[in-house]
Order: sequence, then structure tokens, then C-alpha cells
Amino acid sequence: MTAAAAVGALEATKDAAAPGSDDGPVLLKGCEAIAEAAIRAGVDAYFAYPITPQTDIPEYLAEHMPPLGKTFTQANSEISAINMVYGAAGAGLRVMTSSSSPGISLKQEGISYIAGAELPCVIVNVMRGGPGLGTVYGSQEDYWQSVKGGGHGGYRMPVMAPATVQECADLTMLCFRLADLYRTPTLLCADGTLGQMWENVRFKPMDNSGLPPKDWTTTGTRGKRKPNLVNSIIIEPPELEAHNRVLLAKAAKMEREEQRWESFRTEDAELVIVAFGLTGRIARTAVEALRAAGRKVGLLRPISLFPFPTDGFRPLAKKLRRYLVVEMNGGQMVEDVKRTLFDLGCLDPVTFYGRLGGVIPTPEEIAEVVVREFAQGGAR
Amino acid sequence: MTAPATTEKILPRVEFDAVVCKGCGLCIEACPEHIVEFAEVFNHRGVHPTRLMEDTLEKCTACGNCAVVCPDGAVTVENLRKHLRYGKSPLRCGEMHYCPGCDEGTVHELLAEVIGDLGIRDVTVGVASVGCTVFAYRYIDIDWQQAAHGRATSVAWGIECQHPELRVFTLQGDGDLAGIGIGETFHAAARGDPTVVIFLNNAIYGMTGGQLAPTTMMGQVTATSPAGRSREVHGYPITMTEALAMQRGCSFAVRATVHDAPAIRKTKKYIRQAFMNQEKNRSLSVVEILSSCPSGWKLEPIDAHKYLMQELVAAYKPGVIKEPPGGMPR
Repeated sequence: MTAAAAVGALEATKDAAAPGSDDGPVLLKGCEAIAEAAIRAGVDAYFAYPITPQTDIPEYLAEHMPPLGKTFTQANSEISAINMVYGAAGAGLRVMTSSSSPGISLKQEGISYIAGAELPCVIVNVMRGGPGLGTVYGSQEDYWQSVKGGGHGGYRMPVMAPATVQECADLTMLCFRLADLYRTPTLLCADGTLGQMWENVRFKPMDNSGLPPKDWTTTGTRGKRKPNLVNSIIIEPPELEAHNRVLLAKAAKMEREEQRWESFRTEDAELVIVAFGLTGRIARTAVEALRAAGRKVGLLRPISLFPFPTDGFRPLAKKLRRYLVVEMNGGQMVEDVKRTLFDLGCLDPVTFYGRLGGVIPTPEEIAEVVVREFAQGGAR
Repeated sequence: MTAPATTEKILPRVEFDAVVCKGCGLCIEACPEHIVEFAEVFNHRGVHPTRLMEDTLEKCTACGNCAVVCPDGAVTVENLRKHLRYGKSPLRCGEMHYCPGCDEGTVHELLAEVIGDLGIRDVTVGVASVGCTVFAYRYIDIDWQQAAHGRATSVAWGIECQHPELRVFTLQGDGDLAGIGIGETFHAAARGDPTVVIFLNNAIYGMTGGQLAPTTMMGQVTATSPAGRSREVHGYPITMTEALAMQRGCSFAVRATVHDAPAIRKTKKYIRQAFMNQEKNRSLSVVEILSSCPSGWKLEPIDAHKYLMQELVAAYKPGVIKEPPGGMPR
């Protein structure tokens, strides 16, 4: 399998310019799909430190990047890896790092610097349960850290949450595109279960259209231009304020143009489940079962966690419904759901159901919660 | 008409920039003819700038020491007979934020001169680290990246990993390189990154106001070792360059000092050799530079340079620690 993917990787590189090149489906783990998608997106350099449950990514790239003349470096720490990302992104490379929750915490300082210096890169978090060393089992406990600026300084970046191995591949490529389009770090927020899940994947060609030129990189002046500087220190408050307003304007543009979500049977739904990533896919199974039993239930699955898909809620907010937010954490995205509905002038009840510490809710469990919600009134 | 053969002395051209001068007085100390003095007037910084004493140009030997020791590039000496010029490199830019008498400026000058001499300006990328060198990018007219505290060598590897044509160097202090960034530094040596590491060791945290550094000497008084560095409270200092030299990926390691003009000239030679080694051996080159921190040490600049010579040089012993295979680059 790995060998077949390797051949695929080599061919993809060879035919990188061939639009619409359609390889047949390949069976891959979520982590491998991320790694293979990165290669097909033209990643020049990858830096990381091993941590479960994402170590398949560095193992895959260690095998496949060096033969392509690309840089694979196993750094001495996550901190070192993210700073290699900073240097490489600043030198104009397409660059990625990956880790899992505790390792992502270590990278936060570097991510803040990368955001401040406006460097494009892809960061992959294959989430596991926390806090602390927690567990190696998959979890969604890093939602706040992912979308509220895990590092210091109040920055924003696109955060994409796949629910299938196919989306692991597609959203990795999208992250590379958004990184270059907005000159920003981007975060792919998968979870440990998805990272270890095998599914068929069909790789799409990388879309590099309309990306701005990288005229700001530090690759030597070559006697042709004035020196460039990659930097995040702006000591004068008015200058830093102006810079931060530029970053805010970029985030506002992302909010206008980069919202992504999946709506499933929401039109007539009296209760809408809101869930992302793995939980979203489990909730979909629950919705199908509940629909079969005659319950008017739908699913709204945010794919972009930042920007939060407000537009997905907009049509729903016009009619009275209930909302049930399901997460594999103690209740994090539910705050954004409440805020979003409030902003849309909608005061419908929002309840929360969560499993913690790496425990995965079953479709039956979610369906039971929905039935209980119906029984308690509110939803008709 | 040809100039008549003459034994008459051709006078040098000597210029002291009273606006740039921070009044550290290092040039006064460096002059072998004792013909440099403080002016009576104040400049806009509120210090007495230095100048050549009146009617002493005849005595000047154009040795250039005053220009060599000036951290701020405020002195220019031209030896018109030998066509030699000492002073600010054309690659230098900006007015330095460093304290009067700080050796960081001197090291910037040496770097600018070496980059200019080797003709590598167009392919050189510097990495400025957190600490007093955080604004290094303002002072040498090349591409720069500013790195997070301790991470300069990791950033350098990111820059050079797919750009073998680039000449990447880091400029790091002792806290950055031997404290918070010791892991990054050590692994750059283990990997054998083709980076030139310029390591300024002044045995103190300068930017934060003079606290104990990993390289603070035993007994040395700092803001966080008020009774002097002790084994019980602080442990021992780190000899970082020796440790780096032990790694196979480090092919060149020297310890230099900048306490006077001859030492500064030697340091320039070492920096030049480091950049030559970078091209030849494609592995880590380290130049540790013992330097003063007058503000952190709470000493006048001239006294700080005496302390540098008497204490740091005695404790750390400058010299070649690791010669590259095939001998020192020439």
C-alpha cells in the first residue's frame, strides 16, 4: 500500500502541472492521506518531532520526501520544528509541520511569531485527549486552542476540521492554498481516530491559481532588490497597531470568503445537531437513524472552525428550532454556536452533549440524547 | 608634471563623527600616540564626543586602531600612503541602539566587512536572535530573519535547507545560544547545518538589565547573583563552544575576543575563516566572541574592556578549538 502511494507521489510530482489528473482511489490512513496530500501539494520542506497519534505523517514523509529532493527533518523538539518552519517559510518554501496536542502546545510560541511575520505554512494537529500528557486516544479538546489563538498576541488563522480521510487529503491541500493566498499559518485540525482510520481517497490536483507572488522572502538580494526582512518585532505601539489592523483585515476577509460547512437534512429539521470532525460524522449516522424513525433532525457540520461558518446558520436561524452541540470535549465550540445564533438574532435553545478524555460517543448514544431532547419539549 | 620623489610624510585623513559618537572613549584608550581626547562640548546625545587633539595629525601613524575599536563606526582613518581605509563598512546601515562602548557594534562591523570582502552580500541571510541583537537587521544591508529567543539555528536551517546557494549566519548572545536555545544550537552542530554561528559571550543578560547568564563566571556579580555566582545557588557556567566542537557536524570552532584593536583584527580573521569554512565544508562553523557589556556589568566602557581582558579572557581562553579537516581556511 505504502509502495503504491509512493508511486502515486512520484507520478503526482512528475505530472504536477497536469490539471484534472485523476488517480484512482487509494486506501490510506488519515495521517497518510495528509502526508500524501502535502507531497501532491508540492511541499518543499517538512519539520516535525514524533508524537502519537500522528507519527505516521513523519514516517510517511521520511520515506517519500528525500527521494524527491525535498527536505525532511526530524527536529530535536516541536519548538525547534516550528522555528524551522518559520525560517523555511520566510525563505519562500511551501512548508508543513505536524504534531499532536501536547506538541502543538509547544509550537504555540512559534505559531504566534509565524502569524506576526505573516508566513504561509500548514500546521497539522492530530488531536488527542488532554490536559497535560492526557491520552493518545483521539479527542477534540483543542478547539479553543485552535480557533482562539493558542499562542500569545491575538492572531487568527484558518482552521480546517476534516471528518473523513478524503477530507484529510482535500483540506490539507486547501490549507496550503489558503496559506499562500492570505500569507498566513493554517491549521488542519484532525483527531487521533481519524488519523488512524483507513478509507479510500481520491486525490485532486492542487489549485495554485491566483496566488500572490512571494516577493518578500529572504533568499538573498541577488543584486536585484533591496534587502527583505522577516520579522515579528514592531516596537512602536502605533506601528504595531497598524500591523495588527492589517492582520485583522485579513481575518475579516477570511470570515467573508472562507467559511465551509456541511448541512445535512437541516431544511425541515426541528432539532439541528452541530458537530465537527469525527463527532460530525458520527452525528450524521445518528441523524440518518433518527430520520428513519420519523424524527425531524438535521446536522450542521462546521468544516472551517475559523472562520466559523456563520452563513451555515443563517438560513436555519429564520425558523424556531433546537440545537444540540456534540463534541469530544467539555463544551468548547458550543460557545461559538451560541454566539453565532445570538448574533443572528436567534434565541433558540442550545444544549450540549460531550464525551471527554478520548471517549468516542456512539450514534446510538447521540440518538438517545436527541430523543430525550424531544421528550423534554421544545422541539416538536 | 610628475610628483617629485619625496620623503615628506603624507598625512592621513582622520575623521571623528561627533554626531554618531556615543562618548565611550574606547578610541582614546586605543590610540598608541595618545592624541585622541574628549571634546569639551556636548553632542545631541549629551555626551562629550571624541576628537583628534589639535595640531596632532603629524603624530598620527594611521594605524587605524581608533576606527577599529569604535563600535559605532564614528571614526574613519585613511592611510593615503598605503591606500588603506579603516572605518564604517559600506554594508553598515542605521544608527545603532546599543549602549556606549558595547561590542555588539564592533561585531556588526566585522561581519559587514567580511561579507563585503568575500563578495557574498547578495546571497547572505542573517538571523537576528532575541536579546540585544534583536535589531541586528537594522545594521547590515542584507536579507534578515528575526528569530524567536533561542531558535536562531533552527530558523537558519529552515532558510538554508532547500537553498544551498545561500550563506546563512546567526548572531546570538549567550542567553539565547547557551540558555534557552542550547538544544537548538547543539542539534545544529549534530546535524552539521552549514550555518555560521556568531556567538557573543558577554557572560550576562544584557537586554533585560544584567542578570546571570549560562556563561556568567564563578563569583561574578550580576542582578540575580548579587553575592557572585556560586556553585550552591547557580551551578557552573557552560563552555559551549568546546561542547559544540565535540560534535562531528561542527567542523570549525574558535573563541575570539574584542578587548582591543589587535584582538578585534584577529576576530575578523576568524569570522572570515568561518564563512570560508561554510563554503568548503558545508557544516557548522562557530565563532564565540568574548565581549563586554558595560551597562550589564555596571562598568564604564574602558573599565569594561579591561575587565573583559583580565577576567573573561582569563576564564575562557581564546583560541582555535577545532580546526577544520585540511587546516584553517586561508
